[in-house]
Amino acid sequence: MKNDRKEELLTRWMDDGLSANELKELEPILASSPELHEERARFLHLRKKLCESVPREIDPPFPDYFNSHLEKLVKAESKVPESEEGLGAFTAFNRRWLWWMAPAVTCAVVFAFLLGMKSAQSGDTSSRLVDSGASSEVYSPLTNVSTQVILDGDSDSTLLVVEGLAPLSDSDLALSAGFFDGRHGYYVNVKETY
Amino acid sequence: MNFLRSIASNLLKGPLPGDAGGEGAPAEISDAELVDRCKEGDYGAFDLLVTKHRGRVYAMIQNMVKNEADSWDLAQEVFVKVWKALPRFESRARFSTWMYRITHNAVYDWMRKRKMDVAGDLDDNLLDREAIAAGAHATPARVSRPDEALSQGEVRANIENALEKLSPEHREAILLREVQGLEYKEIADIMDCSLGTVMSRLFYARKKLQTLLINI
Repeated sequence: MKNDRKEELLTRWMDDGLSANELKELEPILASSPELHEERARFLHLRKKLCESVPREIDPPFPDYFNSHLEKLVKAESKVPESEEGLGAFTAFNRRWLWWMAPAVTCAVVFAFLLGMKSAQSGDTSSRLVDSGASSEVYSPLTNVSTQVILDGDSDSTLLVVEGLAPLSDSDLALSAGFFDGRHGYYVNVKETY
Repeated sequence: MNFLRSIASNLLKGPLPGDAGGEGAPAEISDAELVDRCKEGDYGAFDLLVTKHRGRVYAMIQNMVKNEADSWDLAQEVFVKVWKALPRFESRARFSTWMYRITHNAVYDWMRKRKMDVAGDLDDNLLDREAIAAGAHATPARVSRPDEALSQGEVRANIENALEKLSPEHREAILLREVQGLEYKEIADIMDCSLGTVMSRLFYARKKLQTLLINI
């Protein structure tokens, strides 16, 4: 007989919970280990002492206070501040929104990546200049001003072409400390003059 | 209010015949009925439910935790969790079984946390006389006939010591089976383990108890 089965049968035998068939199954074990009967008798005595010594119920100290304090705790837990409620609604909205938008955003990222790969591959290899206008943006508050960003990988420089600006005077350029700053210069194309 | 509560308490506590969901005496409101009322937001029904079950929840925690203040706090925590989880209670198990399961989780969380807390150095504050709670059991709370008390007290102390020497799983299995009188299946549900594991735990826990309490 497997150990697990033996343990189960012996446990239930101690509790008087065996059916006739199960008792029959256990008989060979009981016959070979007569001390089990004595063990059972000692356990039943021990169980009686255990039940006498360890109470099934103990009222907590200050039982009325126990209930009233609990009521306070429950009410405090139930009171959700308005801001939290609002936050909860917002979070729920976000969760729903994310549920639908997550696949769309993933697709957009993949699409942008593929587009980037394609534009890098299809670029004119004879020209070292890459017009990165598709991926870079320069914001201008003036609607009549257009911009174009050109990157040159070899010289690690960026050319920013801004068209539609009013001509800059020499004093403007002097005020902004000239044309040159750092390792690379800022070149301003004013009326096609470099 | 307290007077009314104590009347309700006595009515509710009454006999608990096998705790068959509170069925039995006609005057007794069943757990199922109280649970239904709680689900409708009736806090009065919950208060009655607490009064009915707090004794057993507290006893179970106290026998596992062995600290009155922590047991009180944990029992409160258990009932707060019960209140919060009641809307999800589907009455597939008895209310008391479900409540013991919440108690089991709270006790094990507490034990894990305490294990982490005491893993550090010895806290000298624990040995400070001034820090001992006024209500702490430093002397026996009740004394009967001296010779009888000595004998009973000795037996009780021996049993408590023996229980403390068991692993928490074995101790809990013994308490649920021998003291609370639950079925094996209920114990398995509460302890979140298989029936076979319950049998095995009971088998070895009983054997160990017999070894530890050979003189009783």
